[in-house]
Amino acid sequence: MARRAYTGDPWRVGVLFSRTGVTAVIEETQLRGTLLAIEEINAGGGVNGRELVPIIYDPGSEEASFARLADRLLTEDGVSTIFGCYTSSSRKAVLRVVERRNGLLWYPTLYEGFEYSPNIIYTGAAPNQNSVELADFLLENYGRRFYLVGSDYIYPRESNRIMRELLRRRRGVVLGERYLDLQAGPFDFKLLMREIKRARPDVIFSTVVGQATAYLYQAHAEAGLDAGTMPIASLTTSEAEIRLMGADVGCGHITAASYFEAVATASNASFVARYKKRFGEDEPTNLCVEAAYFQVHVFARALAEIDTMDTDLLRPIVLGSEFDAPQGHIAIDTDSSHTNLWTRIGRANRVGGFEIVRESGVPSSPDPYLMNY
Amino acid sequence: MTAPSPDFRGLRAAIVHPRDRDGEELLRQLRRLGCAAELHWPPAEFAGETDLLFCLVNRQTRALIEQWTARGVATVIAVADPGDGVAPQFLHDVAPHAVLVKPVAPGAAALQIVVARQGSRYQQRMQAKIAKLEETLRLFRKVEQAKTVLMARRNLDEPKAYAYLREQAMRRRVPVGVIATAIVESDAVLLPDQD
Repeated sequence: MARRAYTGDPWRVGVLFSRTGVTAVIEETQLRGTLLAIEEINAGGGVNGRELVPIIYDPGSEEASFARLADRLLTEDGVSTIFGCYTSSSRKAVLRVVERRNGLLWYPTLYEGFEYSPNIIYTGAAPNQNSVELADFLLENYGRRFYLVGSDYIYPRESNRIMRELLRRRRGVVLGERYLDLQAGPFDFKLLMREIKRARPDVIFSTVVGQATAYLYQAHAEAGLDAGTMPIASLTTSEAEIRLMGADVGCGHITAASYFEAVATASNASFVARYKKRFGEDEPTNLCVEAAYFQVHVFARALAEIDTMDTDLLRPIVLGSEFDAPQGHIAIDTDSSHTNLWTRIGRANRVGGFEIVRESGVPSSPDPYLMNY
Repeated sequence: MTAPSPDFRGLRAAIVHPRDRDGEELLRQLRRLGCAAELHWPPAEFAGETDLLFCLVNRQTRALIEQWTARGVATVIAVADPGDGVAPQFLHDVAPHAVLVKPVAPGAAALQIVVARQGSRYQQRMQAKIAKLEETLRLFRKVEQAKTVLMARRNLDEPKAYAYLREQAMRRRVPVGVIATAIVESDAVLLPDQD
């Protein structure tokens, strides 16, 4: 690309997504979404004539590295805005740092809710924007007997607590709840699936994340279970995880998300085309790429308006701002620092994508404390 | 801000200190940093708002320092004489964000401002966060109360009572806490205590 003449020093921002470790596959896609947006902004002349320059570190899926690198970004590197984090444990580690140093973390991942920080902008779904609709859909279409499976850390335990509560209110039944280590291997999932098979649930609700996701779905297929009558339902299994496990293995399973590559908006068609042109024709987009992508654009617009990265001045401009994201029109909620997002249910198809089987007609407001439910 | 060299230009600074060598030195240092600084003495002469308060610690100023640390809107730096026997107890009681030791050395004010601003602004952010979480807690309680009212008055079960609250909030485009508060309050008006 030709060098552009910028009229001032670059705007430097921090980027923290893991390229190694157990959640690298999905975090790598978030890094790509971030870079694509930064490149688009710079191709358009930067922000107020100044180039946007990312300082990128690899925290290696380790909480302690997230905290250490966030601190380095906010002190030695002198940045005040960070795009990053996938797991809730990494977000909680960075939260302490950004609150202490008054930075601003942009978090492009769905999570379990029940959090508010004046130093975080949450652009992934809160539980009311995915779990509630998912519970209703599963009860209507598959039955009321649930088995809950998760990786052993904050997000799965909290999400399962919420799912239990939602099911209790809707007369669903939880037959079992099991957690496996983030590092668990294929054999652990084989044993678990044997147990699930004996329990005969109508739905397996999974909050397994990272590499282990593939092992769970593969164990389901190897046990001869049918996704049509006993699907695995998830909030995190995206196009990226399906590709890892194989489209044949993922076929028929259910995911609730704000975004799928199959979303039929003009803005998405052009986003998907640009993503594939930049990263390869067979690289699918997913909910985490999309959030990572649009949040950089939301940031850049606010920055253009206020022309400073000072958190105390930038944040009020961000709150209440709107954007035509690939998933549809979104807005940053002034009260909660979370985002108005779309709610969708997708069923994985034979070619590694999702068919959207249910979709909200309008974006839903975030309710991170589930006050309305 | 987290820029490598902190910028104090444009900050309002009030110095509550006699107009002696230390008072003048402090005034010079703050003005050199770009602050809009003024010297006030006796303490009663200081009124109005400020971002930074430098205040001599003694019996005359104790109430003033306490008042400003309690308000939590400015960074408060005490100016203390280590030879003064009561200074430690005073400092313990009024809890300023930093202490500048007399006599005031060249460049001393900037160092104290860096430390004190970092701490006081962190405290302000956390106070705001706590206030917000307390409000959330209070609304939670209101929603629970409103749910109980609806269950009793309209003979609804729990999920239906929640659904009703949500629907009303959505229809009127207000937060559910507002609807819940209205329901709880109107219930209290309609049915006063029977005694």
